[in-house]
Amino acid sequence: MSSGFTQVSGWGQTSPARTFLRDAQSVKELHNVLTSVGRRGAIARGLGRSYGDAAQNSGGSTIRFTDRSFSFDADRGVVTASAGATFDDIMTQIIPHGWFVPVTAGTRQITVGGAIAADVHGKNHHHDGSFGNFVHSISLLLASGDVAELDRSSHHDLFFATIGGMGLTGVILSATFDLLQVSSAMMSVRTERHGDIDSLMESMLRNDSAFRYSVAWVDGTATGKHLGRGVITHGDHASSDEVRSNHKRPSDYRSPTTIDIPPFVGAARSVRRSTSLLFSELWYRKAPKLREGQLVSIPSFFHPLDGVGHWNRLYGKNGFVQHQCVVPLDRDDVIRSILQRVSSDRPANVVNVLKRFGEGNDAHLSFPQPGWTLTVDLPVTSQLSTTLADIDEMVSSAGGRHYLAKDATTGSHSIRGGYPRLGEWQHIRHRVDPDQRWQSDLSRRLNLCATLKETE
Amino acid sequence: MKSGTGELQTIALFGGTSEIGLTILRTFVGPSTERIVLACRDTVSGQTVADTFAEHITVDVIEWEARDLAAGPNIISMLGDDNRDVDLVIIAAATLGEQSAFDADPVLAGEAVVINTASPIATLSATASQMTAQGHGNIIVLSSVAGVRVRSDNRVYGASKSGLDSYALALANELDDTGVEITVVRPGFVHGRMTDGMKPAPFATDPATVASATHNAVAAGRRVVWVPRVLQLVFAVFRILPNSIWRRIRR
Ligand SMILES: Cc1cc2nc3c(=O)[nH]c(=O)nc-3n(C[C@H](O)[C@H](O)[C@H](O)COP(=O)(O)OP(=O)(O)OC[C@H]3O[C@@H](n4cnc5c(N)ncnc54)[C@H](O)[C@@H]3O)c2cc1C
Repeated sequence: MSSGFTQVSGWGQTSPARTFLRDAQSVKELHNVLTSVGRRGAIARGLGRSYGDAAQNSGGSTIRFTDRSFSFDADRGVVTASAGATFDDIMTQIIPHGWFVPVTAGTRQITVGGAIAADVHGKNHHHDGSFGNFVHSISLLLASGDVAELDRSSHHDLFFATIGGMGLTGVILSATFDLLQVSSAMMSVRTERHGDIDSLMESMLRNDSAFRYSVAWVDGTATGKHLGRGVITHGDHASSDEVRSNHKRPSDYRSPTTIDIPPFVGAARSVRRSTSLLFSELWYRKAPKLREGQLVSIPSFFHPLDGVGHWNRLYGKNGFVQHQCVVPLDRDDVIRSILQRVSSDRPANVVNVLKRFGEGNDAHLSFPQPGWTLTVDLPVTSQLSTTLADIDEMVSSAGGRHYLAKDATTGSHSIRGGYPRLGEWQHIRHRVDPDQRWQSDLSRRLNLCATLKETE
Repeated sequence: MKSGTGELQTIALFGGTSEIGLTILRTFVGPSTERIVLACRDTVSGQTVADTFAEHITVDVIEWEARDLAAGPNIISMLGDDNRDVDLVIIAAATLGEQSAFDADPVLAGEAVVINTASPIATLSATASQMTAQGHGNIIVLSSVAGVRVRSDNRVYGASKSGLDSYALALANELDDTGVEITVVRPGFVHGRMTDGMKPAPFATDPATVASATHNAVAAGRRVVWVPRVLQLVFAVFRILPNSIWRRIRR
């Protein structure tokens, strides 16, 4: 009954799926895999860095497109990459030539397919928008087995339905996107420490437009008048003048090495409340009140967590939920209420990130929209579902929404409310996948691919 | 689908007005629960029950007659049609009956076995294949200590539960490694509607205790749950009593 099934989960390690995990190295192999997909359908998977159940399909197939090749035009700053190519590989190749990816997530370990399907955003969203903004064209394998070439002029509706479409319009085979020119492999950073959330948000609003990158770490354990105290880091790519004294040219970039957390760690122990209190206190104290012009490397600015492989195991065997929402700018009260809710539960919480988003784009299910986005890491405990239900209610009633690439718990009605263009997206999807060949645990949980009669 | 915190979105209860069944069901209802299906004979009472759930939950009350062996499997297949998974099925419908009434009417005795054994087996069988295809799911089967060693003064009910209990355990073995788990609940005498007016047996319990023990067993992945626990010991002794003694045991 069970032959060939593997257990896979998202980065948060919650709700693992038993799925038929299959690798395909070429379009021909993908076609072969597709012919044997049954009623439970199939979903593409990149490196599994989405936190919840987006890249898994219980009882059905989960397909990894493993072609990692890409080509790079060093004169024009354009990359054409297979969907399986990783940001890590691409960055290692392009930075020495003075180019950078236009958007990077908090980890380099994601694929081009995953970056498009989740329309990932980075610390530069207020300045540049999300990854989809830089994509020229996408080659998409459709449910019919045909390959469609999508761009802003031909099949533009399917192009935008695929950006942020969580793999539910087809398997992305390759894409072409623009790069950002940089003159060094270093970042020039300004760090500010703030004793409470009001001063932190106020400073962010006032100053972030002067920097390409901007983000704040917020202490989720602080309460009372220290609620939401934290550290803002603003940054820009350092100019060649700034780094001259430092001798760091783009060509000095190396993909850093990592240490790994072995599997047994998660089983044995997990992040404790005491650890998180200690971490938060130290992290806050170690930040200067104000420091400008500090030069730091690209990995330590963008991907500090990548220094420790499998850090997700530290949260223990029940896993953790990374909750990310965005609420309109004038609803900063919701950010305060969420922090209050989180700190009153006293969880073992360490990573909370606050940022201001800029304009959204034309992709139907793209997450970023103007406002405050807050990300909180919460280990799974018996109270967590109630906490999250309360938070979701706050987010929904403020006209906010949840990030599908992180979601593991939100209800389908919050998603329907948060994504007003879902119905439009479902129409486009239905046209190219009437038989529901593309399905994931996420799509079932949130009823994303509801048959049209249900939504009309 | 299950949510990341392990909560269940869709739950179906066969015996939609069963006191124990409902009490168990309520322990699994949480903020992520979106849909409850109550399959019951008396849809008017079913509707009254439906109204007690939180507003965000869609409760479908479906008319269901246990003696119609196709009815359970039909409901299960209907649930699978809309591409949303069934996370938990609770099989709770049963008839206790009076042994004297069964003796007076052999057809009634046969019917009790249809309700207590044949019908749950049909529904279980349909649920098992559907959940196997989903790759996940939990099933709770309401059995009884009466089926562990059948007393002569309770032989129809006892034998019918015994059949269901052994089928469910064998099915659980078959489902090893499919992601589908079965929990068989063996309560003793449970105070409640079904036993109203009866003299309680030793170690009597109540629906709330059965429900929380069942919930914990499902969470821990245990296959059999005795309520109260001591009955496991009691029946370990009963099982080995020589028949010359056992045949004289009355409630
Ligand atoms: C430490 C860490 C930090 C992160 N920081 C950020 C951040 O700052 N900003 C941000 O936006 N996200 C962030 N994320 C989330 C991550 O960037 C996204 O979830 C991204 O989609 C993961 O890419 P992946 O290749 O691992 O894809 P997976 O997680 O494997 O899949 C994600 C989605 O993409 C789809 N997909 C994958 N490949 C294809 C394909 N070839 N064709 C069609 N669909 C496909 C899958 O079906 C799924 O729906 C972070 C994650 C981690 C672990």
